[in-house]
Amino acid sequence: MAEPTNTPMPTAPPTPRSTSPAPAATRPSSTNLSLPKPIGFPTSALATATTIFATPLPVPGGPLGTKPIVLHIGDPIQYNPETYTEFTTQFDVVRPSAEERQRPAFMQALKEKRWGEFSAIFRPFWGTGGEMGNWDKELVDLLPDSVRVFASAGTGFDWADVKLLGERGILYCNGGLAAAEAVSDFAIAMIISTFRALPYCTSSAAAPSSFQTCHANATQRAHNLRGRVLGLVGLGNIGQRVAAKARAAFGMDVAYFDVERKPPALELRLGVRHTDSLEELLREADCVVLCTPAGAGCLVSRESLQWFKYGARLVNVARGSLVDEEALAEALEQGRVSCVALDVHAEEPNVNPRLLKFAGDRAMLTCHNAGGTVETHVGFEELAMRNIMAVLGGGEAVTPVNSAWLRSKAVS
Amino acid sequence: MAGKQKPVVLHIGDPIKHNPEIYERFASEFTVIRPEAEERQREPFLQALRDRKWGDFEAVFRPFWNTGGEMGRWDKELIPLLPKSVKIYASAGAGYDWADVDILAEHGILYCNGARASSEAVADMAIFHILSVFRNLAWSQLAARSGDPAQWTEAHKYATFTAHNPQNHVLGIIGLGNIGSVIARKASAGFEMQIRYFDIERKTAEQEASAGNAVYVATLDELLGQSDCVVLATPFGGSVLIDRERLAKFKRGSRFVNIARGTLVDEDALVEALKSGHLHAAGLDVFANEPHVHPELCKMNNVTLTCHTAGGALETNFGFERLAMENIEAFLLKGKALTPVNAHLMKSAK
Repeated sequence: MAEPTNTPMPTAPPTPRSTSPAPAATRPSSTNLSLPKPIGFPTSALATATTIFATPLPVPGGPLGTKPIVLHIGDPIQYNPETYTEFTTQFDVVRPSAEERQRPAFMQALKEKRWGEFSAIFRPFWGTGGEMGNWDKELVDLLPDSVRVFASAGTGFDWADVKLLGERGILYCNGGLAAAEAVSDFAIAMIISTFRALPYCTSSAAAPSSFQTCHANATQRAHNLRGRVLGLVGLGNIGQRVAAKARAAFGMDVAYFDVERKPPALELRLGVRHTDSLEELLREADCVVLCTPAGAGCLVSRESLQWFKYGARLVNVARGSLVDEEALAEALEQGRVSCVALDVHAEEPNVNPRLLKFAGDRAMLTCHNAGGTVETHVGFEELAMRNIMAVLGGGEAVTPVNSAWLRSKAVS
Repeated sequence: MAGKQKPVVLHIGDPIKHNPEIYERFASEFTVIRPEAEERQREPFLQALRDRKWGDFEAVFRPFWNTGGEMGRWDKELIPLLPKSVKIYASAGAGYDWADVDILAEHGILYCNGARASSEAVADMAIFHILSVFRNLAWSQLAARSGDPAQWTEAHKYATFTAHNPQNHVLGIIGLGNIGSVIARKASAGFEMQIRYFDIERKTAEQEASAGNAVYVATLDELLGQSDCVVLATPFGGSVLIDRERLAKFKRGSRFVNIARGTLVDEDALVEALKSGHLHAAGLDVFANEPHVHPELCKMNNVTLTCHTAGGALETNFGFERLAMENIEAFLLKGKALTPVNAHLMKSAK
């Protein structure tokens, strides 16, 4: 089906029959255009677009049939100018202002189709770009059918209904891979803290009497990591880096449980042991580390705490919602759990008061900083661009999280 | 020689706790004399030596660091009172600031420390401090511990902007001995840090390779100027090493970790370097005047402080006890000690 000439659409979905992948260096008239062929793009969208754009709209992205539009939510690019140059060569990037990103204004703009038929949503930072709040049904329903990918900074995505996005044909790509180095380093520091009585050691130096007492007594509570069992709940990008470091630097015995069994080759390369259930893992671990997304539910509950070895340790660098904090506090009070390290909390920025009581003694508490380094930020920005370039270029996304729910936008 | 008597070992400190089988063997090879705590106090101890109460013992055995030091400093007052038969002193503890090992050497006595048994624990603690100075852990921890959501939020938002991954950054180790080399190995294998070192003694190619491919830097000042994080891992040599002048040579924004001896550092100068931002953060396990920590250090949120507990793990204690016995066995029965520190100072062979 030939594209209509003269129709002032902000960006026409390329025809499925285009064969040449040449990127548009200039803005040619629609009839001369050849664009990369997206997989399974519906021609029916053309009809919809024609109806909507009876009159020209002042939209960026150029006339009909040029580059796909990317909606960039958040601050301007900071770290990867070369990749960004490549990005802007391939796409027309539209960046709404902070005011436009506030939820009511944002929804209004979507209703007005102010940004046209954008193909991707690009959120390079977690510190900005979240002003519109949760990407739930109310918001997602307003997205144009042209959207195919949402690539964002951040490992977690509790604020986005990724299942719904998938059902709408939108692949959600997170930044977990870019944060894996930072999160795993932080997790290792936390693991060490639980074996070496560090909440106690780091809070006792200020007065000579407490210094001396700690110096004399900490040893009794402290063990080397070597040979101890590390129980990883989740062996994704982050879990794998934790495993590698725990083995290479500390000689720990690493076991894991994951809802998805990993290939034997990976298990062998990392030197990790698989366990068949969460219960089995918890029963043998000297230190349990949570490395799963929030969707896993409450993993550390009154019930599962009964499976922990007496005197075991817990590290959480994933999500506070994975832990029943009252049950955990009780286990600490009773000594069934000897030491915890929690970077994430159920009610951030509030730390559970019962857990806070152990802060100078058996609980290492931090401020959801596990992923936070300059390198992570650089990586988030880069990875989001790479994900979008891959998907819109017809390839495989780098870090999709909702492929299982993705409804293909195939021509029926 | 028929009827040769077993060598006598003077065991200073508490009875053996952790290695019963090794002790059983040890006690079958030697006659072990263990003075009680009262006899180990300095005056009674010196007097007992003058009285030759324990005869011609050949070894001094101190299995623990928290007992066995009651007589105080092994110095020019005490050492000459030892019988000429004494050849070896094997002790728990990595450091030996309380013993004049040079005077021991002058009297033909080899001093063997326990650093090898504590190196795993000390290195793990060093790694924690290295991670904490790269990741602004002190700030994050203090903010959460305050219980104040505003402080929590501030740390959550802003601690990340000056936090870096150790990966590919340069770790400069001062002293690539038992402990320094284990730190190097862990930092390289676990975190892909680039290892550089300075040591009064250049290590062999093999030692450098097994210490995370450590690259030797010819002068301390050059090492300081190249490192993103400096770790001090040398024994105390009698004077301050990290003084005002040396601190100025650190790369701006770099980090400092000390798990060796606080007496090696000018703490006033360190405080200034941290306050000025010349140093980004510090991780300190040891202090110039323990148990007193410089009050300014206690107020900073870019300093992680621990209580000279770097070696403090149960496995270290097991290891100290065992290594001291094994040093004495190796020397008295086979002629070569395992971990001497003053061999290079010994006069003629005994």
